[in-house]
Amino acid sequence: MRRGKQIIFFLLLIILCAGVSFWQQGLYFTEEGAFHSVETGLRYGPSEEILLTYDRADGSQIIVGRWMDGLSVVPVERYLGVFWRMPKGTVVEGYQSMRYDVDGLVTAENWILGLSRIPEVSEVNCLVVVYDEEERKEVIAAEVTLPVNEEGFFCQKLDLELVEPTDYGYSISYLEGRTADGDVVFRHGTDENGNFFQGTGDRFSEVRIGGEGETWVRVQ
Amino acid sequence: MEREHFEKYIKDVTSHVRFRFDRRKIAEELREHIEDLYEDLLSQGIEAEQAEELALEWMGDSEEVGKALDREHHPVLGWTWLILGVVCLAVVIKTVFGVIDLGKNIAEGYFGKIYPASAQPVVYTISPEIERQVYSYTLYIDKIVYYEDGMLEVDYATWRTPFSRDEYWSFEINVCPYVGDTPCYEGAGRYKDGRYYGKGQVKVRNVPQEADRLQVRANADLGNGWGEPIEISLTEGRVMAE
Repeated sequence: MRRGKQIIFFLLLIILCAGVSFWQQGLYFTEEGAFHSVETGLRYGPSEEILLTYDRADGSQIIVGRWMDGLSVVPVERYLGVFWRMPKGTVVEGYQSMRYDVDGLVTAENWILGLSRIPEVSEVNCLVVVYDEEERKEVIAAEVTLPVNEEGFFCQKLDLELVEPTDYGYSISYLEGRTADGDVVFRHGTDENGNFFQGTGDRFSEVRIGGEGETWVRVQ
Repeated sequence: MEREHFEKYIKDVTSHVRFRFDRRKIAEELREHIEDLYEDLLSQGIEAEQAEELALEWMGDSEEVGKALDREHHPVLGWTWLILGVVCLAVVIKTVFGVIDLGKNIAEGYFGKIYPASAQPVVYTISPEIERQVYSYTLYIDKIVYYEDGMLEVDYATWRTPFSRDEYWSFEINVCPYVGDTPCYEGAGRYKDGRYYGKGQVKVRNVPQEADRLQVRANADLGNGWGEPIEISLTEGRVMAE
């Protein structure tokens, strides 16, 4: 009986110490928990909603959330089967401000992600470019049209070769927002003919971090 | 002579106990018990040989006693206890070392030295004593020192509670002195230590003495985004060097 009590004591002590260790190591039972801990660690967020989750080649995931006028792009991975954490030694894209009324980015995994603040925009056309070291200029890698959902979010995985992290990555050189009738209501960037269009809504996005009365962040 | 019989009896009993790690302790208890019985019988005037037989008789059949003790010291319970005990000890040691490391880290940050930004004489010092909360960090702007060679030094500290579950990222500030609305920033280096309590310094060179305010920005790691500046007057609270 004495031994039974000792076993219970040992178990409780192990659970307590392991709990403290997991607490300190930033381990979470949900991917959302790990995602939000990265955001608040970077001193923004937490995201108001999660818009997209996709897998990476190494088994980890990217979670895309919306915070204020931008997107939060954070990697998370499973750990020991039951926990979630931020992968070690990885690039964290973090907060990506959406500067114009329709704006987007290409992630390291070649996903186009973006937001539209114009409610009428139902689809966007993106010209994706990559820097060619031989030609010493940006060359067109793809042109894609993708739908915009009711929340103004658009995303699509590009069928392009993954660019090594040390190489120049893909980027959006031109973005066009169209209504359901096909009318172009937004243009920004340099199109395939070399014409530059200035997008609307260029602004500093003022966002507050750290709660009411705390620091404001000016996102360029 | 009696010792040999006692030891044989004890060995017979303990051979039935499958959890080997308990055998020695059981043997010691049995030995003590038999000796007590034996001494007791001797003190009653019973002959040594008879006392020996009686003591072993009173102890009972070695097989029955052994099996009863085996049930009491069941190997499943015994092994569970032993393994959990070892794991528990390892986990406790790891935790204790973790706590010591945490304390060491905090102490190193707290007692870390901030060195003067310039070898030139000090013109004035300001102690703004500003404290700001930025998520799980508390930012303290401790001291601003202006040197004769135009070097401006801003000393600050940050405190991050060890109970914070936010992912750790370094937290540094940026400063920019102004003369009126004209910025006069020429960076001259910076450093920041400490994961929990950390001290840091930012140096700006060629700052005119008439610089009247300082903007401090807390890096929020938002790409191009910087925190709403903390405005500090460079004309109020000056303590001029003698």
